Amino acid sequence: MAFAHRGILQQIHNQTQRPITLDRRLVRCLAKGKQTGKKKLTLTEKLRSNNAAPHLDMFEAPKPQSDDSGEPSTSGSGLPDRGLVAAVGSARNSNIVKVTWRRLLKELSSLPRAIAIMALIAGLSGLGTIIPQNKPLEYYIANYPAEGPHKVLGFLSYDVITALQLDHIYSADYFYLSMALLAASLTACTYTRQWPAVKVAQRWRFLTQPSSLTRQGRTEVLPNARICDLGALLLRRGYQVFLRGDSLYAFKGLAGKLGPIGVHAALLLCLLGTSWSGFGSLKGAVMCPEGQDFQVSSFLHPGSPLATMPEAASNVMHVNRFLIDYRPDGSVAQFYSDLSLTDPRDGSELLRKTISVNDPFRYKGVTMYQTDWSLSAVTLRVLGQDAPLARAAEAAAAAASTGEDTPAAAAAAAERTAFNLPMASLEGRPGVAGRLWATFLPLGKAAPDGSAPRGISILARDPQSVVFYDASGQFVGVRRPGSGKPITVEGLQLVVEDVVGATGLEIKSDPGVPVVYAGFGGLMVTTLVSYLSHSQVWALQQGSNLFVSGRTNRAKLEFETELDAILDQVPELRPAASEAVEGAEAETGGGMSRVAGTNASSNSAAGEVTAAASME
Amino acid sequence: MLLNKLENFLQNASFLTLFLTTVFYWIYAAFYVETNVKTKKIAFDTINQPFFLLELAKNIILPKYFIAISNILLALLLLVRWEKSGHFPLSNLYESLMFLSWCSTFLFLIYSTSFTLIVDKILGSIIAPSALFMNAFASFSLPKEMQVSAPLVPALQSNWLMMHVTVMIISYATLIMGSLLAISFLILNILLNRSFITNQPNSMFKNILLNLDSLSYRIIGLGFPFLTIGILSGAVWANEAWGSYWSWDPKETWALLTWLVFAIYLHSRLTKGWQGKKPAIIASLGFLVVWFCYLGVNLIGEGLHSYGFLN
Repeated sequence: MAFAHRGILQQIHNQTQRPITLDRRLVRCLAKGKQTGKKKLTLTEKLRSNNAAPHLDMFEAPKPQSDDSGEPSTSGSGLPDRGLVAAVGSARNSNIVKVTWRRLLKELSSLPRAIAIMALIAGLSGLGTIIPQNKPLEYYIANYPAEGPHKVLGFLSYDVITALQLDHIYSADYFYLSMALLAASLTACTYTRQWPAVKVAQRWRFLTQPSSLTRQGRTEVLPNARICDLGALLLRRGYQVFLRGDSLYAFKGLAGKLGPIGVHAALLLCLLGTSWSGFGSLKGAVMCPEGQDFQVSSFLHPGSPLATMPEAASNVMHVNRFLIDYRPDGSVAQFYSDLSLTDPRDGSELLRKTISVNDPFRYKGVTMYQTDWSLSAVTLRVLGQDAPLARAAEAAAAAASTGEDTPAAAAAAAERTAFNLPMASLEGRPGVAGRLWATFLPLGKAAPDGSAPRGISILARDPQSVVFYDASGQFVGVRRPGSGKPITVEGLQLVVEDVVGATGLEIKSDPGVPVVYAGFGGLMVTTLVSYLSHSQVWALQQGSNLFVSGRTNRAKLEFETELDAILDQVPELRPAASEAVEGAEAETGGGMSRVAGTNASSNSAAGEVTAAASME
Repeated sequence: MLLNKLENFLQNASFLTLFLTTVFYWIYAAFYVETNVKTKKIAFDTINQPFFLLELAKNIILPKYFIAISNILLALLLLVRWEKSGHFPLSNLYESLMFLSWCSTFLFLIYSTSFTLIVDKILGSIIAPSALFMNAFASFSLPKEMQVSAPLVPALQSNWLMMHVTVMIISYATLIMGSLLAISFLILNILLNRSFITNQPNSMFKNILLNLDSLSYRIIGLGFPFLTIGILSGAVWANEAWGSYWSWDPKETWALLTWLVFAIYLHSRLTKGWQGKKPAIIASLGFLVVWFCYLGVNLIGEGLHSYGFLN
């Protein structure tokens, strides 16, 4: 059994000794870096040269790090000053445009400046919730007077508000400018800082000196330990492990480094989408009674001259029915509108759908939402022999019926005698609370002296019930539409057949929505991914001693605990045994049993290294 | 009828357990001498010892069990309300406060595995009373009419209700917890600088501060994606319901403000020289902003989210 394990260990040993293509590239890369002389430093190299880690003593308990070493330098400016000097120095050879461009990038990608822009947007947004927005001028004159004891804060009067555009902060110039600055800052930061940092993080950095290890972070030394044991343990914890000779490099959570770039990109996508919406969208609202049509394009108003009317807007929308579903306690359960979109050229129906709140009507880029309703008319029927309409109906019935069913004919005649009285809204009038519609049925001609005619007042708050008042304003009764029960008012017998409702639709055509949704989705995913911490572990085997160093960018305490747990698990070999791998039969039996227990992972360790070797 | 009785019982029981938890944690914070042993080990060690309960109590396991019990009780309460009303139990202020209380206790239980004993004491003394406050305010301060679950208005009859409101409340709970940690960091920092507590070794205090700092960063770092998802799902829902994904409604605006404040907090940690105290101040500001976003805006009286009390 020991021989089989030895074979695996030998395999690992052989793998690491085999020349890897990466080796040569790495060697060349490192060699390149050692070149002196006039060489224009790229941003990546400048950032790397500025990665000054704090000097920690070995074997000491972790101290709070005073800076996030390894992250690109984030002090007041984007590029380190040394780098800028180098850039400027070498820029004497290039033109002045490049220098200005770099300067601009440096200013834009400065983190404190970005924080200031965010704070500015936050402050302006908050201000917009305190001062009511988009109200007519009279409102501000009334509530923010220029003189008098009610002057707000001693200086905030309506002229100050209108002058500073505080009545429409969210569409003010300075607000748009702040948003544009934020977008510029995001782009500059991603370009100068985050992208090079990702490139740096992707390189496998094998360290060959214990001193380089101490520069990375907290370093521990394990006497009598083997580097491949550590490698296997790291693999079990989800690290990607690379071995080259006596040097090990492992990392996990690289996505946590890419996440912030994704966040910035998604934010830019959102901002782009909202600008596109601002310029390219059309919207409007319509209140259409049941049974009526409207042409969609007449109610779509462009947000800017750049907005184009969609093709689908040339169609005509017909409202078949509007219905309010009530619960037994009188509250509204849902609003339904049965809509048909027809092509005006040939009258064919393109789409028919019953919409409700949260379930809009969509057709080729035009969307209609159920947002409002009102009452449009009340359908009444007058009963009684002496009613003029009844007489006409009788005559019509007599003329028409020559063997038809009398009830059906009577019903048809009755229908022909029903008439619509359009209703008007009294909402907002003095003495009126809430929504109220009313209509008037006059009982005679208007008097020649111009006084108001006598008539019946009919009121309704919703399609459920209609209230009648007589000519002197006295309450007479309530009727439910469709019940067929007549009411006698001022000598007339009236039946309420129906209340004709009107559906309030919000129509919108917004080409920017897909872009905005893409930005939203990206933002949701990338903010979660950014939560991952990018951890790196380096190890170096010198004789029988194993130097281990590790660093992480986010979950520092958890990383410390995890690293402690891993190091605790690394088996300690007998001093004589660790000299030569083959000599430590008995001990490696014990030590190997641990590795044997993770045979699969050892195999995968070999597999990983091979995979790593064949990568790139 | 049975459900009503059950709901009453659960309401009172959850309040009682949270009250006892608060009392326990405050007693331990004031009097108990801390050790550095991890609580997981203690749980296993005490089972075999005599005076098992006493050992549990001494090693601060007991209050944690109480938090777990109150968490379960609150969950049951919400489930009973779901059964009674037929819709997801997050439609009014009472239910959202209960859910917030549940989230706080749940988060505490999740993160408690990575606490040392000292941090556990500090955190418990803060989280338990805040969960208690939310519970008590919902049960005893809100008028009964507001506690009753009414059928949903048409605008709320959507599957988005579950996702948007749930994620927002979870994010509020996380951010509140993280900011409370930051506030406690600031308070301890001041106490440390003024040497009010002199009989404890300084390095241990620094260790606590380091722990608090790191934990608040981590917890706020978790709450931030949740807040993002909550705001964005709200925007998508608004687009599906009213055709506009952002209408600068006060609630939306203040949610954006909260998002910006915590984005500033997360970014400020990357700035050199801004470790410890300054980000904690920003997080403390964030605490106030979260509360105003959650409750204050609803009371203003305008906009789509208002309850309209203070017109």
